[in-house]
Amino acid sequence: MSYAYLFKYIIIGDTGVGKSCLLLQFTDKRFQPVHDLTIGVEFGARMITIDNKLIKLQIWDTAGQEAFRSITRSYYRGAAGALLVYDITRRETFNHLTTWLEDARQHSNSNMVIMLIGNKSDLESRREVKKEEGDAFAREHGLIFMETSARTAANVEEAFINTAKEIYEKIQEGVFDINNEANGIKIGPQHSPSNASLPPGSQSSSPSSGCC
Amino acid sequence: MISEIKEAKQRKKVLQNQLKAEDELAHATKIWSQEILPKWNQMKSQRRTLELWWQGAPPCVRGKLWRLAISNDLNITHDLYGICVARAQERLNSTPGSTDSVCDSFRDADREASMELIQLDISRTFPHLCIFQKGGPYYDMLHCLLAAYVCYRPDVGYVQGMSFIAAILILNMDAPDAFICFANLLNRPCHRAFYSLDQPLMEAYYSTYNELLKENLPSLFAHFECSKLTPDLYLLDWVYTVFSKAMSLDVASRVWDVFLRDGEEFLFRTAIGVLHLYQDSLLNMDFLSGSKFLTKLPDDLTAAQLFKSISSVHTIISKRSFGQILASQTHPSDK
Repeated sequence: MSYAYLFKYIIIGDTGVGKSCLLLQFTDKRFQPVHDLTIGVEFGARMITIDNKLIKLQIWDTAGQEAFRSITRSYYRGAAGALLVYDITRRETFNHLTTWLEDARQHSNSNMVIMLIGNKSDLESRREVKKEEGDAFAREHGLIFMETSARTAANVEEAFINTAKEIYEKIQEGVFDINNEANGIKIGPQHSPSNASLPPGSQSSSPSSGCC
Repeated sequence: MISEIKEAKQRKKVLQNQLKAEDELAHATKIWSQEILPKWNQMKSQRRTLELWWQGAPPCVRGKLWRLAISNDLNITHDLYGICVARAQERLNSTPGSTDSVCDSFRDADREASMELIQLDISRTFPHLCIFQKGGPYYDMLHCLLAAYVCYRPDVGYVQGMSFIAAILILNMDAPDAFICFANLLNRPCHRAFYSLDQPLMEAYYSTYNELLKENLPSLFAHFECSKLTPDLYLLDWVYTVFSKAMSLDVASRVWDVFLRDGEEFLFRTAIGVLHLYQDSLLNMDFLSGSKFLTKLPDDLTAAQLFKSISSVHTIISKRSFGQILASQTHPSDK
């Protein structure tokens, strides 16, 4: 299936907040109560439609332990969107958001769209972080915000898709230079008006065969 | 009628193969336990031992073989393990913020290298086996071992991925021996570099691996270069867990056998063996499919396929050994 655009996403946040579960719910529409530990990075992909255009999301799901930050930093490069996740039942994961945000801002493209996600909204009885707090943090730092549940799938689609909508709007406004792959956006194989304007390598980037 | 006869023949053949495999296993077990292991120092480098070793250790001698192969350069005693466990226990029971903890060095250790994180990760270690989860038979054992290690090496602390190494050892030996093997394994150069996240040294390992990949599978190397599928994306997980997360337990145990025979070089040889086995598919995959494939290998990978593939991988390039290539990467001026 050929797409109009490919967006690279990165999912970040403390360990155990549900990053891999959010990804699995979004790509496979299922929930695994006990997910394998993520070491380094794992990958996911899904097609979505925005404004009648097919968009492929290439999602990098990173390890959350602080020790790995030095490694995951290099994965921000070329990301168009980031999902910054905390766990509403563990206050410390919310307290660490500032460090995550600093890291993300410092190592990514300045136009990267960041979506703040308070996950595990199904565990209301164990809630330690109020929704208003998430809201306030997002407003203060200019992020989009949502509470999600990877278990019930509540808001999971919306979180991934709204991020893409924001990126798409930025493309329409001309904020993103789509010919520069460092922005985390690639033009799909059939979509380009003229192949000559494409950077080398993207001309033959059909989803099945990759490169060369 | 004919199909019934065929089926019966098929069943007979399967049964015969099973019997043959059982005979071979019994024979190998006898050689290992009666001839090789009792005279380990004499026997360990003999050609016959090395050949038998390549074929995989029988599960019942595995624990003993691994202990001997890893050895105990750090001279850790069972008593020391007991002391570390007791300290860890004390820390677990002490309320946060109290000053009577024995392990004061923890205070300086990374905040996340804590007991809570270990607890969180234990249930995420081989979840499908259902033995390391809370209430499972090995939960406490794995927990104690990792907590004891944090007490033993507060400077390293707990790093995600360690639980897989510890779990594999626990499945093959009792807790104090598993601890001794664990600490000694993690003290070897490759795992020490990776678990302390020594990036320049990790890069040296990646570059060495890339040289081997280029030599063994030039077209796949070129394809990966072009699609920007870099080794760190999949090698980290393989090195951290010695393939125990990527492969089934049976196949991973076979890899462990020869890893403990050949050392760190075998980690990278196995990695190229995996790539060699799936080369045709990988050559047709783009960045995303390729990286997804390598971070989650097919479930039906068998030891026979893998080892056949690994045996075709060579680790000497223009008379330079793995160690020499690595050394030239760590000291680029010597090139």
